[in-house]
Amino acid sequence: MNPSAQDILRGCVQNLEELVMPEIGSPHGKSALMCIRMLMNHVILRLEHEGAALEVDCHEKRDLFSELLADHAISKEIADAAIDMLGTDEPSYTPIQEMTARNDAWKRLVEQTLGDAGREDVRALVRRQLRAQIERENSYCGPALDGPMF
Amino acid sequence: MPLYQPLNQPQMTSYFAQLFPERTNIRLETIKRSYPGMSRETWWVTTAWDEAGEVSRERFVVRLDPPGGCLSDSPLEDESEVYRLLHPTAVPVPRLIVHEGRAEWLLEGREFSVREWIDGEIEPACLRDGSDAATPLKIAIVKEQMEKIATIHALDWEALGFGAFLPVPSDPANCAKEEVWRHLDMLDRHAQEPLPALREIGRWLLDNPPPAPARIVLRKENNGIGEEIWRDGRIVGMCDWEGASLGDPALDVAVALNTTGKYWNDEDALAYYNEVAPHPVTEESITWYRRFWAFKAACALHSGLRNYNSGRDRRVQLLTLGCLYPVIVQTNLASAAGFGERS
Repeated sequence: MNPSAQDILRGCVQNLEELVMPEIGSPHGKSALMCIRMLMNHVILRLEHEGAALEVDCHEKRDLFSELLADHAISKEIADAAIDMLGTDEPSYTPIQEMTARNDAWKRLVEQTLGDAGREDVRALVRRQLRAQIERENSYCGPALDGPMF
Repeated sequence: MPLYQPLNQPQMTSYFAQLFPERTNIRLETIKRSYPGMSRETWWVTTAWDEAGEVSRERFVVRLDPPGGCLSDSPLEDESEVYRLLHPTAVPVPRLIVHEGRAEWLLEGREFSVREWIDGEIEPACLRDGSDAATPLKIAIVKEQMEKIATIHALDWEALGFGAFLPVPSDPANCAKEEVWRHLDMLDRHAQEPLPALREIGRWLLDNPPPAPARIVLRKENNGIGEEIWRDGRIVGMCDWEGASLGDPALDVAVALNTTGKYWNDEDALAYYNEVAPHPVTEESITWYRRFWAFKAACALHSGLRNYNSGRDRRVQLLTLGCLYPVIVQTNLASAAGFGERS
């Protein structure tokens, strides 16, 4: 989706700082708001860096334990656990921006196909996949809109 | 770009002074921004001046686009023109004092309009009364709403000059389809990401149009309980004309029914509209226009994200409306269009 989750949070921080913060009188409210602001900035950074950082860290630790095993530098109990871990490949990480760009390209192709679709069977196939897309998107949008906003 | 731009008081004071040169020492006594005012800012201004040893006062409404620009494509000048043309008619609207577009008076580059203030309430008090005794009063309120939109629909919009600045449908048979095309075109220009499902819903609306209306009428679009100014059970001011358009009257009735259903059932309200309106609308048309209204809102609200993404308007309400609402509309309308969860 555009804006990204991070950019939504950046807007929330700006609105908190400019519109909400000046209205808060109680020290408890102010303190909570300052913490919320910092935590939102923390979440923005986590969304941007955490996946890639975990991927690198897993690979570094894999290399580390491979070396420790080769050197017989760890106890049998830890070595067995490490061998078990080394038996599984490290999961690869794909940033959301990359997934979004790829998904947008597919969606553009769907738009083109529906624009051209003269054949009803083609349209029906594409619509069936769209239904699945809509259900997935609604699962992380619908529950969030749970009350009046004005 | 700041989220909130206070009205420039010294400049507005000078503006009112040149607007009313006979009012000595004119000043702005109170300034309040109306809530929520997402698409356009509305400011309530009380001016005061000295007159024969007394202080006189007059209230005005100042309207202008947000600093990041209006969410809709319709310029403020068109909205001002609607007020100007409607004021001599039977439709109750506040009088437009001025539409200001001269460079020396712009507010941070923004045109603005000044219109007269009308005393009243946004929601008649009887609507909050839960007793049985209030039921006839509530029905009377819904009847008044229907009468007033019927009054708009009875106008000769061509003779009044609305065709000079509002898009004119080619003919009644195609007016619904042309509205859908306009919104698909809006997505072509402003969509922030590919939206194949929303576009497919648009195509489904095109393939299943409503019956043609008897004639093209002027419409307020954004109407209903909470949208007008009421006094003593009567509408004394119809405001917020930024969505004014020409087309099928069924759209206005569908939008009104969205707000009146809890006070009087839709069937009776529609039957009453058909009694007082120059041309009846059908339930079939109402159903189609309810769906179109949701589709139109989804297109417009998603398109509003362009102002957020460009950094021109970072209000969080744009996000709630632009990110969440279109997905929910898409889910609901996909069912009607035959490819959703409940289809």
